[in-house]
Amino acid sequence: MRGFLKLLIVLICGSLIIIWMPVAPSFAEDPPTYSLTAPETISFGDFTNVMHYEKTGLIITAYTDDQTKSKITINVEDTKNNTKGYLTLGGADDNLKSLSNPLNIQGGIISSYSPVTSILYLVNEGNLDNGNYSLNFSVQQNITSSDLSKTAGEYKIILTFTAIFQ
Amino acid sequence: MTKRRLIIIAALAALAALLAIPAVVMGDPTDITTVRGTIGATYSLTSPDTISLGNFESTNNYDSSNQNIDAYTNDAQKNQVTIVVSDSKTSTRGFMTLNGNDQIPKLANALSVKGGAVNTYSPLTSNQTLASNQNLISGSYTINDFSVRQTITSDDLSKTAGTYSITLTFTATFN
Repeated sequence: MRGFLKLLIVLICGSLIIIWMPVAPSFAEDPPTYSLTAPETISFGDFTNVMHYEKTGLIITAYTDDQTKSKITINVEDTKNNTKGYLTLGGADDNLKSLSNPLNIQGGIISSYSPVTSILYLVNEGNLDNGNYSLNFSVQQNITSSDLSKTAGEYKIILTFTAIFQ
Repeated sequence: MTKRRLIIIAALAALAALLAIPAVVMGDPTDITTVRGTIGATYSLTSPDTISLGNFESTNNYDSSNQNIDAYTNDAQKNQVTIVVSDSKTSTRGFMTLNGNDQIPKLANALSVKGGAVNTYSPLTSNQTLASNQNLISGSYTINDFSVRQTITSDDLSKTAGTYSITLTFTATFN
């Protein structure tokens, strides 16, 4: 009987700790912070000519206060399936609504413009500086005459940047 | 299994659940960027640069048939087109004149056109509507039977020699 009471008390206390911890973890250390910040929007403006539209000097910053982490890997990808890497009308995953050429990115270890048709690693185990890492990158969109006669409207792509701290 | 062992297992389970909480907070951070650019709406209408009826040497109807008039837009908001052909001269409206001036000498008869919604040759002394609210297909509409006719009289053959011309203005209205 006494053993059962002990078991009951331990279970109740354990449950209370689990419920209480996320709200006020007063006796535990704060969990480490991991952050990645990329530009919210990159705008090429109006596509009016057959040319390469380019945006340079873009910055990605990463940070952690986790003292056990000293390196970082950063990749970028387009998560669409049918039109991976392409700007599309309204961002739709529809081949009929995509530009002729994929978006290109360069920066970090990607030394020349490369299409985002597959995942691109911009940083591979780069050294953190006091938990910080900063990266310049550029994007380029080649517009053809065929593109200029495509359905009018806003063409866009959503890039997902991911940082892996090690 | 003894009660003591049960107590230890229960305590370990509670501890494991407790340790799992920070793991939910941790992870590989991501951020998203929207890259955008805009293709503006364009509207175009294409007609022949020149339609030549050759030399007027006899009293006859001089025809040039089945020319193409192409209208196009990439504006997804537009689904119909109206196409009108006109002569913008005032004094000699619809007539071929020497060097295209808006003055005499002009030919005896007005230039006639047909095509699209205009089934029979009609004089260009007034605007001619070749297409009225016709449906666009992928933004395009084509009139492939645009034709012109100039009737030459014996009186015309004795007029001042030279090139008689008229400038046709095609207008497309997308809606």
